[in-house]
Amino acid sequence: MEYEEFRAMNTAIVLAAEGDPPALARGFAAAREHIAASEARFTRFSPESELSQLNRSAGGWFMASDELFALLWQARALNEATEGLFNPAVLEVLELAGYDRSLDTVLAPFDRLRPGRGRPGGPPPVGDFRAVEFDQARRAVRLPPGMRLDLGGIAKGWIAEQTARRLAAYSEACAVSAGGDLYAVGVPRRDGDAGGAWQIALADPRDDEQTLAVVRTGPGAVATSSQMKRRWRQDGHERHHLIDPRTGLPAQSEWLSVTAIAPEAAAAEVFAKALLIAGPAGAERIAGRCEGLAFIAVDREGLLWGSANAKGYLDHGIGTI
Amino acid sequence: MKWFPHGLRIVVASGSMAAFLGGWVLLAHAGKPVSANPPPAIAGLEVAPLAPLPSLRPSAGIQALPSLRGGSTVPQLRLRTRGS
Repeated sequence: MEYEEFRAMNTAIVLAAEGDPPALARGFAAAREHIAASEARFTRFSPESELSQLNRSAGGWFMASDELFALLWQARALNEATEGLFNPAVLEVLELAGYDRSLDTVLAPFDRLRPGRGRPGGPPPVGDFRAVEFDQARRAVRLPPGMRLDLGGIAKGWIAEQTARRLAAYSEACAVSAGGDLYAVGVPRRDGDAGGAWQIALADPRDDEQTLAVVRTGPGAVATSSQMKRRWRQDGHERHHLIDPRTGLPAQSEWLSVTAIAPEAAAAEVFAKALLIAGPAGAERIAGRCEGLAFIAVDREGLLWGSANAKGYLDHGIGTI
Repeated sequence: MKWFPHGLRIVVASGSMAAFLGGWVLLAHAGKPVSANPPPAIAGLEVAPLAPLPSLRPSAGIQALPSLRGGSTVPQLRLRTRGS
């Protein structure tokens, strides 16, 4: 197995692939290029990105690229499937909570940078993503006036999958990991005991260096959402990036992280987030809305909880997505 | 004059007991306080059933899963999922 690691999308990227080394080198280069181009398209931190242009066009029709249109179309389906717990229209409240620049900057002592940005009456209501209009024939999108989108998580999963599919053209089996989001094509054959399955360490959300479990899986997606990541302080309050669209505030969950295993990366990423927000009371109902989904949650004591089918991914057998 | 302190104690104790019992009897027979705005009668009032509190325990479909905690050998893996 050959690996290449670098940083992009403000997270650690790992490319893993088996095959002919010269072909893999070309594949890794193509993968890096694709990730860089996709990041430039979907980032909300650059005013020139296509996403920023879309946000500025709210109220009027916007002619989207194939990539952006496909991602928004998938976002619409996933917004509905998660009963609105995944909602890309959270950008306004995310910025009010303090996450209005790249995370390296947010991690500075934010109290002194932006005192009192929080609104005394609480955050404004999160926009209804179902109000976004789509014109498939023209590949056009219209956001309601004032709505702005953040595609951070879903875009990362989607980019991981698209990149893996490109890398697969140069390899026998490959996987692309972007922070919490991983997508695998094929299965490794040469990796000793690991042959026949991808082995993915599930990190302890309380201490990244510790491993709580090893997920063994075939082709497909594994994604983790954690409320212990991307945290900062604002006006004396600890904040994190997972906004509960029902309250407009960082989600309060009994679970520290949720890992979702699903056939598609965007679905895995979105359901991991939605299940974390839903918590133990609503997780089973939400999970039932995604075919083939398995999930593993970590609570504050570091104990693992999950769907009945999740056990197959943690046993010595190989789970099937 | 040794009988004097002893007698004084008996007199004080008896007086305290008599005062206590007298006060008790007096209050027991006194009129009860009446509110200026009596609460409305609730007889026949329909009380809507409260929604059950959300359970803090995972539902039946969510199971405890085994972890590597407790001394299991943890393989060193380059692929990790740690949240974003």
